[in-house]
Amino acid sequence: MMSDPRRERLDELLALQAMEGLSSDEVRELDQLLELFPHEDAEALELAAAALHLAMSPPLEALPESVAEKLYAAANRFTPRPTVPATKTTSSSQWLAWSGWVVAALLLIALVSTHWPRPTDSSAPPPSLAELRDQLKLRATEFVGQKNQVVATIVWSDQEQIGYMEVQGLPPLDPQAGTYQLWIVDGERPKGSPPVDGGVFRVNPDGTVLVPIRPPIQVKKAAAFAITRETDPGGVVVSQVKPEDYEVVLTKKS
Amino acid sequence: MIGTDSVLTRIAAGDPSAVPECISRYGSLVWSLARRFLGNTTDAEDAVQDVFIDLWKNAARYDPARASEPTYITMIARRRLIDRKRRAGRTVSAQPLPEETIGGGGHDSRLEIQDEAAKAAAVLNELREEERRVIQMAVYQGLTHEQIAATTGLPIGTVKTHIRRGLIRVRERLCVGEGGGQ
Repeated sequence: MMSDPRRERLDELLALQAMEGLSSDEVRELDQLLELFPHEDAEALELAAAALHLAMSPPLEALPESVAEKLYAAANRFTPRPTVPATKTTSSSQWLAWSGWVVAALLLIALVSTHWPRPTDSSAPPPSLAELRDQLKLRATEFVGQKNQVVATIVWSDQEQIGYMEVQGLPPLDPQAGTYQLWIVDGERPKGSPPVDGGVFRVNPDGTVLVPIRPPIQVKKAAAFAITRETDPGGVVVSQVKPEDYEVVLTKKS
Repeated sequence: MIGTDSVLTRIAAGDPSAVPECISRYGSLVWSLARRFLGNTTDAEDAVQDVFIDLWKNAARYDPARASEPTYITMIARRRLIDRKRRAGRTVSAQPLPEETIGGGGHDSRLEIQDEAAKAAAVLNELREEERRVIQMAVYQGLTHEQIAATTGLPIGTVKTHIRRGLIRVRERLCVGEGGGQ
């Protein structure tokens, strides 16, 4: 088995695919070999390389606000369709082969759609964060807070698990010295539970910021929000800041 | 347990709230990969969007029994980034990263990624010194087989063998840890 040159060539191509990618000729060769070894997992070595990459990576660089804004706008335009669960994977070229049919189908849809009355102009620029916030405001709850010169408002939807926070008056921080972090108090969590991490953020030089809020875990019923100043530049899991030292606390707008 | 619910599985099931959650969990990871592979911020911005759209559209291809979600997302991102660099006619190589940070991802995903990275690091440490060195040059520094051979003085066949064997070993060990795989 180990001395089979086809087997060795298959492993070699899979390793090359994981590290450098393959030429079109190599992709064809790989597909032919995979047909000879139908039980081979075509992604196994790519997954190994990915795991190693994670192991060797330095601390993650946070997603810039401008990139996040574009991504969330793209997310808003994307509607997931329920599909069947994953099954055995094929090599990338097999995927490409049938994706050609998908592309053809999409082109057909695009062709039809160009001759169909359209309710909106798809070439219009994606909505800004402020526009998205204002749209959400119609179906969400508003929270407000003020402390000294800091004024903060949050529009939040428990239903959609999304919100937008706008702050004025927060002094910019030296990134090495710390960061601001948002916390969400979930009224449905047991008493004494720590608030949910709403993410870390930085403010503009003029002390303002408008950011989307996407908590990593579900917030069943947001009761309040708070902003803390954390000395760890990457934020913390549980804040040690005392409530009286919070930058601002936001409660439901009456 | 942190991050046990898969956003890709939820997207595949048609849950619209999982689409933006995928960004909040893995935006920093994909961005960091793109910056490392491409260096250029404009290229990285385009690439990040490509990666996420690919992930959303093909979410059903993720099988939690085969890999953790951070590893799978890293694999898809690496694949797209390698392809992007090949199409641009450039050698796949890692770039130095600036230290600037703006915004950030959720702690749950950060911890999940760290946990996954720690497991892979443990396996990496089990490899022979020479294998480990070659793997590090290939995966992290993005050097080609030829570049590694030139740097280390090893025959190119040995470089290929080290990479192949190292990857197979890592995959086998991680599969044991995950309780499945093939």
